[in-house]
Amino acid sequence: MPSESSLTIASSGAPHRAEPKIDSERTVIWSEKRPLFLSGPEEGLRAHRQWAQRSALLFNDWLLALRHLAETRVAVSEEEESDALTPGRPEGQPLAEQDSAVRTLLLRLDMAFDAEPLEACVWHPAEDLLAAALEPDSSPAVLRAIRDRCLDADRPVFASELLRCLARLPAPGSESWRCGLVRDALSSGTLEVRDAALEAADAWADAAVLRVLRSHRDSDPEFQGHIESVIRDRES
Amino acid sequence: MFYIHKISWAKWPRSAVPLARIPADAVTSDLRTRENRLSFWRCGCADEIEEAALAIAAAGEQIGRLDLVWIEDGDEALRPESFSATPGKTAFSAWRSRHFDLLVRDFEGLGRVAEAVRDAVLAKQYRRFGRSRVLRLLAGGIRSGIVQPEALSARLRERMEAVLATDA
Repeated sequence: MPSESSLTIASSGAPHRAEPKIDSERTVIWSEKRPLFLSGPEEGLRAHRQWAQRSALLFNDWLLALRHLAETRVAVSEEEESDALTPGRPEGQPLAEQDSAVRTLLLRLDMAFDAEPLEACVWHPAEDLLAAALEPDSSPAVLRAIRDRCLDADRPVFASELLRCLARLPAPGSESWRCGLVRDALSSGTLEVRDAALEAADAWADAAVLRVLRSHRDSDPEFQGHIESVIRDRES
Repeated sequence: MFYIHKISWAKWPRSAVPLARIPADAVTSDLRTRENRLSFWRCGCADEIEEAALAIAAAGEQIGRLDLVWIEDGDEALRPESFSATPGKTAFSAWRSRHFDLLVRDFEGLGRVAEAVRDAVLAKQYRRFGRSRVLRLLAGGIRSGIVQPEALSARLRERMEAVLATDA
């Protein structure tokens, strides 16, 4: 990653399309939707601009790419960093379309959950993101990435909110995918994730998912009681 | 008399931890104030909790699981002078007058509410309504006329219309 320079991001104005320009005092980058104004040492800005141009193809939005750069210092590969800093290398060479779609989805989900916690019976923007990504057909790459995030032990809150949001979709993925996800999430060491798995199982209620519930024995007796309540409810 | 609040059960501690050890996520997620106010629904007795669940579900945008905790009137966190009656935005019209906003002036006040919720959860003063139970409550409310479908949110109304059409 280029050495961090003082980076100020602001955006304004109506949608506009134009080539990027660098002048002596500031860099003006036109995104597809709005102009972005950066100020800072020109050399650092040039590298940021080149990186953002490539990243824009991943994130499909320059503002999103630059915010990600500034706030998360996303791990780009050395090759990407080298590409961004090597003069004369063709810019805008896209990564695989699937990787791009997955990264965009995960980033947008991150931002959606950061902006607003998930509340019971209240619509959340992440639902629409997931519905767009998973309905009517979902790619294996997207399903794999979502599953991995739902089982990410390092981020249990995000995992549980993502799983609870998935539960709001009628039937994401295949029955075996849903069953596997519930089974593995019920094995989480975090009660919130296990509870999210129960919510998903209750919502999807596939026969295989209910078998997973019946065979689960939780270490928390109170939670086990909630599981049995869902099973009774479904069987009645 | 009780006051009912929506929570996420799994976020709250499983043992009697002191205030300083209540998980931050539980407080910031379930006790998120708006204009220093928290939403509560008043019940005359514990038997009314199903009606409270219907009122809360009919105020929502989704059919989903509900965890409702109840705190007894007289708890230090719920001082009468801190409550103001604000009509609930629910399609269960008879319960609109049961909605109250609790004024939580400061961090100390929020801490008292957090302690009250912690104690209620530990005392099993909560009830979980699973998704299918919530769906049955809403469907029953619409069929009996106590829930006005036109007052439901557009998303929820659409969903309930589909459910009731299937059941017909």
